[in-house]
Amino acid sequence: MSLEVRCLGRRFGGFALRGVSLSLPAGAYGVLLGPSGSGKSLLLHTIAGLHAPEAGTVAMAGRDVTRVPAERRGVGLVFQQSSLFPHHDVRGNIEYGLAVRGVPRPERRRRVEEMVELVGLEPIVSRPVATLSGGEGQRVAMARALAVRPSLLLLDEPLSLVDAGGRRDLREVLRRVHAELRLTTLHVTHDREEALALGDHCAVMLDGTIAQAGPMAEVFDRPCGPDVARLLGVA
Amino acid sequence: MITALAAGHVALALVPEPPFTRAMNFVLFGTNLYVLQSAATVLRGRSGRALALFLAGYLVLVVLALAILDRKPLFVLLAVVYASVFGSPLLLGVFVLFVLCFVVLQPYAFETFIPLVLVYGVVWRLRRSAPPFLLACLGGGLLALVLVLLPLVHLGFQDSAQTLGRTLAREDVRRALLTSVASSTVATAIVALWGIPLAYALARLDFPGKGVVESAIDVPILVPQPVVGIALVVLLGPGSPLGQWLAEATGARFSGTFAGIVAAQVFVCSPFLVKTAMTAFEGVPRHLEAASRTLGATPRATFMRIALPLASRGVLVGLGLAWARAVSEFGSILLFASSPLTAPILVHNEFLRAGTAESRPIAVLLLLVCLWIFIGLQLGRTLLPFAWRGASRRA
Repeated sequence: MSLEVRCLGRRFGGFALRGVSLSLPAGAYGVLLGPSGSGKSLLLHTIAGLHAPEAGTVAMAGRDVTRVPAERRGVGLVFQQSSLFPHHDVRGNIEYGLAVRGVPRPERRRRVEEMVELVGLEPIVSRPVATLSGGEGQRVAMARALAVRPSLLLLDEPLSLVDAGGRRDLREVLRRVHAELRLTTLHVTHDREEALALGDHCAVMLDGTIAQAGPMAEVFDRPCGPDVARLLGVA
Repeated sequence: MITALAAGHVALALVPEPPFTRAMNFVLFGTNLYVLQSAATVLRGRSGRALALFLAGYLVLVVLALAILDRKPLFVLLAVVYASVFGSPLLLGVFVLFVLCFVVLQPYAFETFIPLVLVYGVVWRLRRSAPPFLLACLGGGLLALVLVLLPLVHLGFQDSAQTLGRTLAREDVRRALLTSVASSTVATAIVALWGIPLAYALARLDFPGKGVVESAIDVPILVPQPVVGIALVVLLGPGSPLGQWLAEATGARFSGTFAGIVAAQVFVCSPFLVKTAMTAFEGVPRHLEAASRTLGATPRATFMRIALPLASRGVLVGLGLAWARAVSEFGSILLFASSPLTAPILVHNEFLRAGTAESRPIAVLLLLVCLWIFIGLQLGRTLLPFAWRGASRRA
């Protein structure tokens, strides 16, 4: 499902989006690169419907969803910090979205098993979430987001708080999931290595606006200005 | 040393007016012999400071039990125990507290000894891990807390189980306790219905005037109880337009009825639940609720499945505090709805009619009822399926 963001404006705390426009074709893996404080997470949360924009529109598969509440957008979101529900175990977390949607129990069980296999959670599926490492927690968060079969996957710096080993595993999981599901994905990061390793499209965000966007190779080969070039490390 | 000790006791027996009988002198000699033997064992290889401390302690026992109280058997008992426990600092501390409570503060022995030993145990346990400053803050604070709670603990030790049983058998006492428990439960349930949602909204929303709303929630804590009573009489009393209209339209009367008691209790107990629940909801990370929304849960489902379970311990504490505040309300109920009698009003009436002796057992029963909610609260918190501490560590 394609994503189309037009002239999005929103202020929240010390962050602001100023006329952000961005498009991502169906099945693409887009990476949103930008320094801390540039508004990347705010943009992602606004696309997910957690913040109502003050201006502009968000469209998915050509349908305007700007006023659609978060729970009806069909968007999966993985947060930077652990957002697992501490009163559920790993299985309960993965099942959560299915339970609130009223999916019957046998179907729920089947979908959980599917996700456990896809993300590789077999050894930890019955563990309390408080006992998981950072990388394991993010893999569970990913399985939970995917279990409800979203049309768009949003990843908010999912690797930034994970140790080096966990990061390598998680990168592999992200690559495998995208290859199998061909799910339109928008991945926020400030790590250009990560961007190059995973994405096929790239957008660079500076000070609340998109400075440059396009296919990955094009953006890295022809940065549109010195700030973008410096951020991409190609200056 | 043994010879010197024996010579001392012989000299005591030979003075013109010996302070002890021969038999007692002999017992004291035996006691001192044991003390000497224990001291030789315990103090072997230890510093002169330990010896000085031992002697100082022994001297205190001599002065206290022999010179001041003149209770020789007590001295024998204390000296033997003292010499036996001196080697263990933990037991020595408990012994000092025992002497303090059962000899010096004898009329308040149990009610001081039990809490002081608990405080000592806590401080002892933390003595190596906690910085001395924090330990002093904790120890000092707990001692003050023991003093603050002493009247209640002392009250609890005043009446025998038989007296309490006889008091509980009185029809008026049973009815008053039941009225108190029932009205407080109804009042707490009413406050829970609107207080928990309000607390959640206040924890999640920012709006102009929020500070004023938060202050308004605290108003019932600040208003003196008789003022609440008068205010309720003015608003809902028989002569008031609203009271009259309610009586005519629905037949509901507040002044001097069970509903009136509940109305007064709702007023006074609401801040305890709302403020505690608000703090509990503020402790639930917002991104957990955001994750729930993106997974398909409506705001209401997110509240029921995420916010409320994660804040449940705080909310439960709030419910307990609100209930306890409601059951203890006296001033406003006395003015607005003194009938049917609640337990605090009955205690007050009995005190005016017959004095402390008659009102005390009822007060103890009311105290026991209040303690049950406290115990229930602790149990409820333990039984809740979710351990939030583990979660907050990861969040």
